[in-house]
Amino acid sequence: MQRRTRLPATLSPACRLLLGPERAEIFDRLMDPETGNPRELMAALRDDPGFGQAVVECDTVDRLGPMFSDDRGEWTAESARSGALGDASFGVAWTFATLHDKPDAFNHLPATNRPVTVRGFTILGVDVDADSGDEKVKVRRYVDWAGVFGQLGLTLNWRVPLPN
Amino acid sequence: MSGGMPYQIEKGAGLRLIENYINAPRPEMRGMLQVLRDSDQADDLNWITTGLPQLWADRVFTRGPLGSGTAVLEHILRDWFGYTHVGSDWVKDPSASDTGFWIAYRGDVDKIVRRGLRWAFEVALGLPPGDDGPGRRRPWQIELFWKCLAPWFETWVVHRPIQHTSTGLVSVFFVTPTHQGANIAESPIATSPQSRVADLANPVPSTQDDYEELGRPHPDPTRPRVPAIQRSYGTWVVTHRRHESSQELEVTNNARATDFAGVVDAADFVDWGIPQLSRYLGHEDIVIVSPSSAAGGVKYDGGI
Repeated sequence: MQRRTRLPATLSPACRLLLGPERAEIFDRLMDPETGNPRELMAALRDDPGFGQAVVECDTVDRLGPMFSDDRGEWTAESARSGALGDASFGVAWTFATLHDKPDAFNHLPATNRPVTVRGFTILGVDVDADSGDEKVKVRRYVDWAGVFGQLGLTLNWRVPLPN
Repeated sequence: MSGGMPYQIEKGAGLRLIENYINAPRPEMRGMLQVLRDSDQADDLNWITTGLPQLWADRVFTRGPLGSGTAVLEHILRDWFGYTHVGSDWVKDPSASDTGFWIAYRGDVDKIVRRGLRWAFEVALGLPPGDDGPGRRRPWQIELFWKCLAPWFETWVVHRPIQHTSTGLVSVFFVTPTHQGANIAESPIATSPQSRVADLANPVPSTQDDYEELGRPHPDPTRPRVPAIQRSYGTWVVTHRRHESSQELEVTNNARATDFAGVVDAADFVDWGIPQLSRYLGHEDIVIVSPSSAAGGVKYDGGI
């Protein structure tokens, strides 16, 4: 079966710098939609935890960061709670400290100018695409959104619907 | 103050009863104002524990869910104000993370209610704060409402003259956070004959007096007791017939994404979302409904 990813991740210049030329070349090659190999990429991440952590940092900072600020913030991996998972996955526990100074980006909130620390755990693995049957790298991000909401000053209404 | 409310705004028998007691002749209202001012000065609970002795002895409370005026008073002191009965005293626990039964809120609710009522009395009597002048010859009426939900506790005092008359109206809104075990009815339409049902701690919309859906027949052919336009008292809610907490808005957790066709998959690198929880959808036509008094509305004649 041809192995290819449907949605290739493109590395930002900052991430390319973070990964370094050798890891960036491996990432580009193994994530190529036509000739890539998700399982080989996962093996590379498991063999080189720093590589896996850097990929998760790129995923977090590139996508989550602009929701709060144009500053890249400070991303930290909890190395003691990160590493190979199961037969073919890789997980990273992380924190991302930033400042919510960007208006209209996080669900259109005005900028609160509050410091925000986002905590999460990201699992990189290989899934079979439901449509094509192809294998591709998929990302499961378990993010402490309730903690984020609390830091921004958001509250729940705490009134549940009456049972029907 | 019945311990729960199925709608977002309530008057109900409890607040109607208090309205009846506080809208007294001028000398009595001046007396109640003085008790409030004295309690403000002493920062005590006398204004509510002893300021209205007849209120808490009213036998109407025996028909309520708590069974007596004393139980209602204790409910207010404990659950609204955050006090605990220690020996013969009511004391506040300074280490409590939340006040009373409010969720995610700590504040001096008793002072907010007391200051709000004091100002409402002063407005109704035409007196500047702390002033003992003659004020109005005929006090304005005070009405009370409870609005839930809000992130913190507030008392609003809203007043206006009634044009072409010599009087006016002072509306007091107690705006509260939600409380432990709080429910909310997603439809204003009542189907239950009673607001209290056995397996629920909080009331539900009921077809008791004087529930009415404007323009629709009442389940009881002898109701409504008077046409809607002839009601002296009314609290009408205008909204969709029903609401639904929809899953159409994906609860994005970035761990499992769904295409709403039942296919569940993990996210790609490019798929980062912000969770927005759920969205309420208004369904069907717009209805105008008078909740029953038992469910937080009022009877047509203002009766308890």
